[in-house]
Amino acid sequence: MSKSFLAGCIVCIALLYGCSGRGGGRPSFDRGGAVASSQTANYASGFIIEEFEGYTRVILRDPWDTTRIRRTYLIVDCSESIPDNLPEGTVIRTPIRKAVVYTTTVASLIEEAGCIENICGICETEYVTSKEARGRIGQGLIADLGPSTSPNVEKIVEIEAEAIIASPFENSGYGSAEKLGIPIIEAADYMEGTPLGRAEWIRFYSLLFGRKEVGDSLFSLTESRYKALKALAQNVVSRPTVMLERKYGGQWPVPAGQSYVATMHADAGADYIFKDEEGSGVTSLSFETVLDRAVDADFWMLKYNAPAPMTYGDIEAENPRYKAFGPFARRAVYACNTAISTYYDDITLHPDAILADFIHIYHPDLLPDHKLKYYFPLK
Amino acid sequence: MNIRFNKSILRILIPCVALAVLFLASLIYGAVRIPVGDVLSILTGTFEGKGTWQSIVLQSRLPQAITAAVAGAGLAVSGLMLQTLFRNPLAGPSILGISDGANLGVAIAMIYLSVSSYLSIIASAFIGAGCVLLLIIRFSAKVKSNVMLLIIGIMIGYLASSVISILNYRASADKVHQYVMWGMGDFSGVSLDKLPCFAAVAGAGLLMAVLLIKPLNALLLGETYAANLGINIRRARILILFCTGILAATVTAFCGPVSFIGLAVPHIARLTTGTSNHNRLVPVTILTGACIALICNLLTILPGSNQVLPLGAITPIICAPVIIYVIVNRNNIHYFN
Repeated sequence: MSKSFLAGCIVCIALLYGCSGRGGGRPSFDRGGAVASSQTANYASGFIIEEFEGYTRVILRDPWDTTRIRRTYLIVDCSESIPDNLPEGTVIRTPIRKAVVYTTTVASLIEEAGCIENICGICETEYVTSKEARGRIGQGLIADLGPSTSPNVEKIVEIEAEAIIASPFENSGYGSAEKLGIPIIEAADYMEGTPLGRAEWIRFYSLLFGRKEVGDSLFSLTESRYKALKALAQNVVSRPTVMLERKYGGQWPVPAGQSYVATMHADAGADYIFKDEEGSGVTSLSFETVLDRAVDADFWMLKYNAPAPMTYGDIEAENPRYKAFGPFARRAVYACNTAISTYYDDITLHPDAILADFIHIYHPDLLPDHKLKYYFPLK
Repeated sequence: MNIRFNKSILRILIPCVALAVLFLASLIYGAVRIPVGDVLSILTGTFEGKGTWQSIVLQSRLPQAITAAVAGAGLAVSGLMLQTLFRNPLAGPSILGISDGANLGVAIAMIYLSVSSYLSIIASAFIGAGCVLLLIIRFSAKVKSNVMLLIIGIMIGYLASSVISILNYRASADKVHQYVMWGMGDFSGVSLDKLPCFAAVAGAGLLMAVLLIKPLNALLLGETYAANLGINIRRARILILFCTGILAATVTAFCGPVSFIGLAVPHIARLTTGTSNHNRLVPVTILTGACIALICNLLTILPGSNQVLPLGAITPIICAPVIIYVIVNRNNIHYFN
């Protein structure tokens, strides 16, 4: 009896395994109706836009496990009734008239799409650099919702937001905001591995505000500019070596080889010293590893956040061992002050502008008339 | 008599040898692979190879190993003194709020004043820790019970943590990141030119701890007995608090908060020596503290990889099991009985 029971169990498990396939949440991409047109993103790996009769479906892949679907949004125009045959997903009526945005980078993208009036709340408003957005915050038309990690949920209810656009983090939810019954739209653009993949998210954001054409044209413009600049630096004879960022605590965080930052430096005709580090995020290296591999680098590019411009004296005071690096001795350190520049606003939609800075620094003869906007030589 | 004498020598000799081996290992093993022969020739000044390797061994690994050893010794002995003073096996350098005071000083400097230079960070940590230390010493004159003083220390720590949370809440991601990285502890921050300053202050603290052995032994018998032995209890208490405060403040200022070493190492020393006598316990605690800190420092480098782990993630792995063992076997460990 026990043997037959055991055999039965094994058969059941085998059948269940056979039916389930690998990974329960694997995307099935069933159409759920006739597809009018499918617009799989060309560069972005995080979303797929599909147009159906009466609605548009946007599938967001899980950035940490791209074999899984993270969210499905069904975008239905406000002027039309909701179709009966809608598949499973979060229904969003567009154009969204009142949106809450957790990150200022996404807010700046929405502003570029001409939809600033549709934003009614932003988290961490101190990082907003746009004059118009700052003016609207001053007038009380855009509410300051506090930190993005714990936004003022009561305020979100009070301002009658129709949707929340938030950046997802691995294995983390959105707290009480999830219980409001307001659709949460996940803005995972920052997880893209290429600059154009990140920029392409403007197409999705514009769709939410009924500005599909604007989003598509903004992206096309960025795409053509970026590709032209990349082509300019593609056949350079010599590629200067470049090291990035600086030591924090016991670690030196450097962008990994498949990160969009690494891609941008390669596109600018540079040889990024840590291009072989695996991953698309940040790798923490020891000081001695960076010293061993980057001591003879041609350029050192770093970002900082301070009210006053950083100097060679400042970084020497921070760590005297920085003097050992070639770019320090040759005065080839370039720094971007993120407290003053619009680097984080522009990195998503205007990587071409940042790429132009890089090309001008690495190959001044290719863009001789370019004026630096983000990275400046350290004084 | 001879056997007992030999055992005492062995108990000091073993951690001495371990310290020497671990110190040498810290110079040989690192994220960059440098052959042992080359490391030795760099140390003897006969190396004629890669200049970077010379810089790594002499400018990076050597000060880091010395810092780890001195910091570990300082934290461990301050933990021992506080455990004896408060007669509490779970007392440690972070319990009196001194580390939290240093954290608060750094948080104000980094987040509120946007300061990032190393010397400013050290100064702000010292000011923060010093303020809390003065407060504790002031309270120690008013509050006679050590338990009450301990509670005041914990409360001051909570107050400092609360202010840090508020500062972090409104700070930019960059600054929070900078502060979080500092808060993970790091023995590599002390460069060769700042090492003498760190070693001198911490060394003075260690010397003072050795000079306090007599009152510490007297306190083991209880305050009344200690007073009968001619110990000025109030003075001894202030000196012990001052010494532990200086050690904790110095280590936190230069290396960031390093948890658990001060809490666990005195127990390891008591378990290995089998005594509560500070004549033997203080030197063994100093040596064991240095050894444990060097082990933690070595473990921050992932074997076969050039990536580093934060020190704050390693110290609990080594030290927390010791504390659990001590708590679980509390009734069987003779020094509690």
